[in-house]
Amino acid sequence: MRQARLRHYQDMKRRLLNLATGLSLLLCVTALGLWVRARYAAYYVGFSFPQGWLWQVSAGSAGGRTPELVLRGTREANP
Amino acid sequence: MTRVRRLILLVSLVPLVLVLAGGGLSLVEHDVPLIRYAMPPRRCFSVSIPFHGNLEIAVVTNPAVGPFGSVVERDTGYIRLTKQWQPIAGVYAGPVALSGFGVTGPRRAFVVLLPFWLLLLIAASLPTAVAWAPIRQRRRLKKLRQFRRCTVCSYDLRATPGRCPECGTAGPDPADANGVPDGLWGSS
Repeated sequence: MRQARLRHYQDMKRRLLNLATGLSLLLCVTALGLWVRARYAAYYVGFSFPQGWLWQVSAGSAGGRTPELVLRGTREANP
Repeated sequence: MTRVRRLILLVSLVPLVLVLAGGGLSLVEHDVPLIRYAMPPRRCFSVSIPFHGNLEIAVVTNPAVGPFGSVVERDTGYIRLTKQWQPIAGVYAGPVALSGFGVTGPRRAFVVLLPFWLLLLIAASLPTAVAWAPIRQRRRLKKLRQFRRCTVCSYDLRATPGRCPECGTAGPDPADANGVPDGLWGSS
């Protein structure tokens, strides 16, 4: 019983690690693509929510500098 | 499986090489990074998709070389928003900047500024570690067998080469001269 529980725990741990590795690799490749993209054109993706929050992710190489990823959250002070 | 692991390792190492090649050298440019992106994009091409409110995707192009040419349009909402931003406080942790905005304007905001090379470094670390683990394990086993040690508990097996007296693990096959069997990463 204890062995089975230990095996179940190890399987779960392995699956979670594989999932995290896959997501991390996906993020890595995505970031690499966005980085290359940001060298040629700036862009942003914005999500606005009913509560008044606006989330924006933008990137660009303003002024010829190295591109950066900017996460921006804004909200009306008195909605 | 071996090829997959090698591919993961290769893909993970590419951004690291790029970081070392050029991207990481821009660390000194991040002394006052917050004002840089407060300036709105001059021209952009945007698509709005309903998503709880709106999902807006905009590609801002340089008018001189922009691929969208005459299709670009001015995003007045974005310009109006950014004009009201004023930095009030900032926390700088190396290249990462966190800041609150909006003292006088009707909006409150905060910004996280992350250089791509740092994002790549963080994202590539886990796949690299996972892909590197079997290589490291094989090197460790090779070294243990080379010095006639138990591969499980590192006990000295020179006196008892057949079986480890500490943990009972069978010793390396005497027929294998090198003491290292062909494994995942090929024999040396």
